[in-house]
Amino acid sequence: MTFAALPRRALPLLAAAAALVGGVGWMAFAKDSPRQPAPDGSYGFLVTGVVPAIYKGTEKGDCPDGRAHSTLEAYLATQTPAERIRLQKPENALELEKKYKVDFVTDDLGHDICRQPEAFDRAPARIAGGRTSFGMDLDGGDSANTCAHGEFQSPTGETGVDNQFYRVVGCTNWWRGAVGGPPGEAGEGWRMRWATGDSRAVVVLRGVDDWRNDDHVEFVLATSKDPAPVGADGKVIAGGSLRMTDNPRWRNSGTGRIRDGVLVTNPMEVAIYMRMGTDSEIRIRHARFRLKILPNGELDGMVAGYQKPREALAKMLAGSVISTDIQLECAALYKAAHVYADGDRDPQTGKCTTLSTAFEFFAKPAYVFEHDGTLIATRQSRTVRTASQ
Amino acid sequence: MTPMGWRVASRGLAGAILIGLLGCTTTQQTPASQAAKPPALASTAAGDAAASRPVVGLRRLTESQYRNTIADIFGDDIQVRGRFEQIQRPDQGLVAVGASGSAISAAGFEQYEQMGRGVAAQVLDPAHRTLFLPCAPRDPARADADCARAFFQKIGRYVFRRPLSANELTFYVQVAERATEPTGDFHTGLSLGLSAMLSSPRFLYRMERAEAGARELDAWSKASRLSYLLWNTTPDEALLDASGRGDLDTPQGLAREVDRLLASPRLENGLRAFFTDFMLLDRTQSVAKDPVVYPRFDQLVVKDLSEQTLRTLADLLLVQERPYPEVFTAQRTFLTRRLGVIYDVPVSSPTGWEAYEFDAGDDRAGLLGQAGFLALYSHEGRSSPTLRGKAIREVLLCQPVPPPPGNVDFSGFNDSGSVVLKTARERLNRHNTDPVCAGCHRITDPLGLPLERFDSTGAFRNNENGAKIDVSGTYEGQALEGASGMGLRLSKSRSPTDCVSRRLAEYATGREQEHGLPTAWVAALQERFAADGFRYRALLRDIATSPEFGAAPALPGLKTAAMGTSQGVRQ
Repeated sequence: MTFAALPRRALPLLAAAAALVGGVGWMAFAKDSPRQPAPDGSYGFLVTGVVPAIYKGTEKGDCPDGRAHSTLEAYLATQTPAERIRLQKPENALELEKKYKVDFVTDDLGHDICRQPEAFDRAPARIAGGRTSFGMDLDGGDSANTCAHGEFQSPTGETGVDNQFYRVVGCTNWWRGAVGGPPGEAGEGWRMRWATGDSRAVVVLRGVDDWRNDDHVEFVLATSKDPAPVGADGKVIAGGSLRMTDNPRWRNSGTGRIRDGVLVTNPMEVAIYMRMGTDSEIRIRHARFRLKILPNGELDGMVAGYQKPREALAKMLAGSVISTDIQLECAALYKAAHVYADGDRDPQTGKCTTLSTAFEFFAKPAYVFEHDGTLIATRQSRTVRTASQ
Repeated sequence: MTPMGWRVASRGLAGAILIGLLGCTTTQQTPASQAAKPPALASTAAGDAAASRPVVGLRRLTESQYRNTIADIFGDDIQVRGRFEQIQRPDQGLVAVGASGSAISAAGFEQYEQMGRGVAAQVLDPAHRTLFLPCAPRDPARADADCARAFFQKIGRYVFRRPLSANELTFYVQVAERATEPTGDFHTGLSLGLSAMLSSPRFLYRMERAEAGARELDAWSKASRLSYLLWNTTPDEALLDASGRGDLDTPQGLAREVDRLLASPRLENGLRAFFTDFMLLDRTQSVAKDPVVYPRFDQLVVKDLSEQTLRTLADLLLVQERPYPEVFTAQRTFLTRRLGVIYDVPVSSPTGWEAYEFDAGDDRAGLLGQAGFLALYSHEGRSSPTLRGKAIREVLLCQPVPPPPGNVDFSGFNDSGSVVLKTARERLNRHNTDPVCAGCHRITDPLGLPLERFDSTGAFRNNENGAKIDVSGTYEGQALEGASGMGLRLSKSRSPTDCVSRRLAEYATGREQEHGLPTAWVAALQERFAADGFRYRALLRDIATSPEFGAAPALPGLKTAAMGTSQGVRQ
């Protein structure tokens, strides 16, 4: 209200007076919470990471044929020894740069080697030929719906592990990191997307009677409408409140069981929002979750399943910057992804259309609401506060 | 207007203010350069009378009062940009009392002058001026005394919270005229005049006046007291009119205005201002915690701490009209998502506030379970039963605790990671084997230890360093358990209600019991507060309609309380 200009500014006063006369409560904030108790046995979690699981053992053991070529190496390999020597002389640096950063990654029709890798006829990238990888035995040795492929052993000794995505990218610098150095930047990029709330998802476990052993639980993984709360240390914090998306595409349901404190789901189809290069979701087919339920209520484990080559390589197919700056030879990886595909065999062609893969999966306890604000899951391991404890 | 012209005008304005501050009196002298000209300004009899009364009290506007006042006079789209010099809080007292003796330093005044200039420029810019100007100048490039007079007469009544005297009006019209000459712009001239008005002590301070020898403040001063007490802002049109009619000098007229103000939604602003001052809630904005120990506590949480308490109090005391003692037991509060993380409860709204009711038996009940209180009275990396107990004593019960001696050895207590003395209680017990320390800790710790299930951020815990936390305590000889037990005991005690009524009386008058606030009046208020069922609105009404509220302070050595006669008060 402004007294000095009353005619125009008297309106709020009049409105307030009218509200009082009409008996309308005037405290705008006095909105009541829905406060429905969560259904018994429903617990919520905030997903804090879904990151491709890339094993890094010894260089010789994991990549016996050497690292996958960078774009520059791939280009030089197409040249005669004499021409290679000429192009690598300092005075020819600009010429070399143009040839491998422009001519080599685009074709005459304007195709981009990362956006349209199928337009380039390149040899498959060098693969990870070791014996060890993270992952799960997805096919159980059943060859009816799969194609012949090598299997890994997990670092903990599990045999029959299927992870052809690792086989394709496991010897690229971007994923594996420098020889003797830390893991590659790719995984860190994935982690950052979760840490900053760029990717957001929640889990709801329904019907949990016993956190050690339960024969039947419902498992829901859904994109969250709300960003993850981040603490003063820059990390996602537990105990926040988040709403599930109302987009049915990004709400995934399945069933599972808890054995000795480890939740294992049956295969389920998974799609959750994540901005990923050319794609805006992570899609995992026939996904199985194997998650350890930690004493602090967090979930820590893995999800494994199958992805189409384009889905699996989505982040790498964003554009030629990947080939020139990150030095990934997209067409060679794309070719390898098709060659080593091991799942969802097309009965018509007899060729497999998907790659087995595995992701690390982390989640922290959280309160989960339906998109309309109805509380559907309380958080695990909440401390009970009573005066008489 | 050339830039140089602007600078000239600015200097002229600064000069005008200086004249106002240092030289002019309530019987304003016409500047020498203008002495030959006839004033030709209409005298306002009420303004002359008001301005001639001796000043018996000065209370500097707080930052929130300044901002509210500017918004109410000119509109909330007028921005106030600047830094406010802090009003010192007296030891264990209210800022409102500090405001009664608060000077403004040269640097502080510079800020006020800058803010006033910024406000005036906005008010008279092309987008706003038509709202405030009752006339159009004959020539916008030249001075127009009649139009300027009409403007200042109208606006001055709001700015000074009373009508202007003829001399004051002449002064500001002349400032505007003199500023118009070099700038060649009538509105710039007015703007500089208005800026001088906003830099005047008559605006920056609530000048309380009384007739010489009178026991009561004049009606304009009473109106300001009422408005700043109940709405934390300047008197509105109706209240100024009531003052002009003399209504506030009769019990019936005063009661009518008090009831009108009490019935307004704006009463919440007054409640917020009082409890911010009483409970030191402004200090929550500077609470910081070690991010390694408490990663959940960040600036988003800090921002919400005082707001949660104020929303809870406004809801409890004004909307639900519950008795004040329920402040210590109420289960209903308001939360944001970020506070929900600290409280470990679900909050459905992604933005904003929502009501939340803790379960019966939850240790969170009442103010003592709120993160604002718990975090404010803790250290950065650990809770503090002593700070919390001291705050309960001093802030909520008005019972001063002596300061610690200078040679205390805190080393044993500060080792909060001790594997031997795992809980704060154990460490305090060791510390209190020193009788020098034990004396004060006996006063504070039994009140703070029951809150130990809340860590330094206000988050709940059952254990400290792996040891179960003992939350037993005592208050007024009664054993109790936990924060809710402490709250329950406080709710049954007279000390908190006597404290809040005493503080509200101090807040209303700007005086402490030690400095002239009638003890008998405070005692009577406390009794009537109890008789009214400890209803906050009833206490406010009692204070605002009491003769003591509108009484002129008896200033020692001055028969007529003659601060600010024509000899004393400066523009």
